Amino acid sequence: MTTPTDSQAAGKPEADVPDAPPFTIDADIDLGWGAAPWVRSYGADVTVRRGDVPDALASPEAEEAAWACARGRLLFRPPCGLRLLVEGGKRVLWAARPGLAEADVRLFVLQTALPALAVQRGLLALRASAVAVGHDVHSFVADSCWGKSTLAAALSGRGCPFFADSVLIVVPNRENGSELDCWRYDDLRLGPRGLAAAGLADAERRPVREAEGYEKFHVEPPARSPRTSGLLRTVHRVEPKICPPDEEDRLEIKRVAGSEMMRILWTAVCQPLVYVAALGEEETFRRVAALARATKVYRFGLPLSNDARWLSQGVDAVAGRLLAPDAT
Amino acid sequence: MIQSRRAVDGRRIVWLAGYVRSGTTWRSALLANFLAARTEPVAVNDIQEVLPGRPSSDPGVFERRTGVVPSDCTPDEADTLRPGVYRALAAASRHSGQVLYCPAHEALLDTPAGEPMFPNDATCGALYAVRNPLDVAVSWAFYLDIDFESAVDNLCNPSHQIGRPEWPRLREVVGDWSSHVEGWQSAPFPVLTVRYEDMLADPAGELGRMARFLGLDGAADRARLRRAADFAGFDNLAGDEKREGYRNYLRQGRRFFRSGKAGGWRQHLTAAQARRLVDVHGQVMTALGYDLGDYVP
Repeated sequence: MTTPTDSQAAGKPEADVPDAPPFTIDADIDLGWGAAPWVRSYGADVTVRRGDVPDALASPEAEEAAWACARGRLLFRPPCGLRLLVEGGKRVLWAARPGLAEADVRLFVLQTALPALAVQRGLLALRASAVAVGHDVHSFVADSCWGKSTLAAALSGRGCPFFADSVLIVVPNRENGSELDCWRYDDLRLGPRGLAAAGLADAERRPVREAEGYEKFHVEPPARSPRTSGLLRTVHRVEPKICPPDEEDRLEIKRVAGSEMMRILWTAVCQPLVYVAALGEEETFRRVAALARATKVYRFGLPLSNDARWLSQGVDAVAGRLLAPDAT
Repeated sequence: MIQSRRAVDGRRIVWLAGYVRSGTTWRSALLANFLAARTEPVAVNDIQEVLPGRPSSDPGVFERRTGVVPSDCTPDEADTLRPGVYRALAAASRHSGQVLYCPAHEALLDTPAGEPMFPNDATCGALYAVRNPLDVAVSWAFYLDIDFESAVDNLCNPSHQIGRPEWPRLREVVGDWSSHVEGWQSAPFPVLTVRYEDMLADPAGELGRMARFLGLDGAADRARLRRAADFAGFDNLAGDEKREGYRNYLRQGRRFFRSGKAGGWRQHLTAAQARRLVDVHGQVMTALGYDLGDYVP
C-alpha cells in the first residue's frame, strides 16, 4: 500500500505534517465533526464538489446494482436521488435531486464515495467500528446491521473510548511498515435498538438523515478517544454464536488464523467488489494479506437469545481483554 | 403442467419461495442433499454452503452489490435497489455457470418504484412451498413465541412483515397468506408449487418433481432421490439442531425443527381461529386441494 498525501509526495518533510491524515479534503458541504481533521480549505489532496455527474458511465468495466467502474472513474447511484462520481483518487463530484438534504449528501459521501476514493489512492478501507485504548485501535467487523456500532458505543462506557464508526482507513505505519495505522472520519450513528442496547436511550441525539422511515441518530458516546488515528491491533468479527437449544448459551472469543482469518478480513473490506474492479483480485488479496500480518483476528460469538444480557456480558468480556496489560 | 427449466442467458436465479413456516428449509435440505450427492447427510448448518445463492433479504449481498450500506437507506430506498441487486447476482453467476438458489419469503410485490422486486430477466424459475395455513399459524406462533391469535392475525394481514429485531434482514413484506400464494402462482416466470403435505407423504417423489422442473441431472435416479430424502428427513435435521444448534434460529430452549407433521392445528387453534382462517383463505385453500371439510373443528 502506498499512502503518502500529495503534500508528502511533493517532498514536504513528514515532521511538518504531524498526525496528518492519509489525504486531506476540501468539500463544499459540511462533512461533520469526525471529518474535521481531514478538512482543509485550500491545497487539499481531494475535492468534494457539486457538479455534473452522468447517469451512467460509457463502456463500464464493471457494473453492479448501484455503481459502475470505467477507466478510473467510479459512479455511485445511492437510492435517494444522489449520484456520486469518484475520479482518480482526487475528486468527488455529487449531483442531487432538488430538495435532497445536505445531511443525505454527507452520509453517502462519507460512507460510499470516500471509501471508494481511498481505493483509488491505494489505501484500504474497512467497514468497521472501533475503540481505542491509548494508541491501540481495536476494530469490530460484522455482516451489515449486526451491531458493530452498538458494540463500540457500549465498550466506550466500559473504559474503552470510542474511536470510529463504520469506516476505518488503513495505512502502513510510517516508522514500522509491518504495522498499520488507521484513521477515522465518521461519528457514532445508532438506531433505536442500538441506542437502547448501548444504554444511550436517553442521550441527546440528532437524526443522521431527514428521510421518512430513516431511524439512525448521531449520538455522543460515553467516552471518546481524542485521537484521530492509532495503531490497528485487532479485528473482531462479531457474529451470532450457534448454541444447541438445550444447552446454556455462551460467549465465544476465539483467535483465528490461516484461511479462516483471511475469510474474516475479506468480509471486513469496505466495498470489496469495488476493490476488485479497481485493483484486481491479486492486489486486493495482497492488501488483505498485509492486514492479516499486522493484526490479531478474533471471532466474537454472541448468543442472540435475550441479547441485551449477552451484549452486556460480551462487552465486559471484550473490555477486560482489551484493557489487560498484554492485550496486544 | 409446467415444463422443466434450465438457466439461460441472464436468468440464473431459482427463487426458493414460500410463506413462512411452509417447509422452505426442509425443501432446501432436500435439494442440498440431492445436489451434493454425498454418502452422508449435509449438516443443517451447511445447507447454505451447498446451495449456491443467498437469501433475497441478505443485507450483506445488498451492500456488496450496491456499494451502499443498507442501514443508510430507508426500507423503501433499499427495496428500490433490490431488483438491480438480483440482476447483478445473476450476471456474476454467468461466469461460474452456476444456478443460484435464493430463499425468498417475500410476497411477489413491486418495489416502490413500480418495478417487480424479483425481476423476470434474472429469474429462471421458482419453487413455491405451500402448507395448510392453519398449520402455518401454529408453527409461526411457536417460532416467534407469540400467541396463536396473533399468528392468525399475521396470516390475515395484507401488510404483514416478518423479521426479528435480533436478526437483521432487509424488509420482508409477506402480506397475507392468500395473496402470497396467488402472487407467486401468477408470476411471469415458471413456478412449481410443492405442498408441504405432499412432501410429507412422498418426499422422494416430490424431490424428483422439483429436480425435473429444474432440469437437474439425476432427476430420474430413484436411488439418489431416496437417499437425499432420507438424509433430509426430519430426524436428521432435528438431530443436527439438537447437537449443534441451527444458525438461522438461535433461541435457547426453542426448536426450529419442532414437529415436522401436518394437522397440528387441531391441538392448538380454537374453533374460532380455525374458522377465521378458513373464512379468509378458504378459496385459495380449495384451489390448492385442501378439503375445507377437514378444517371445521
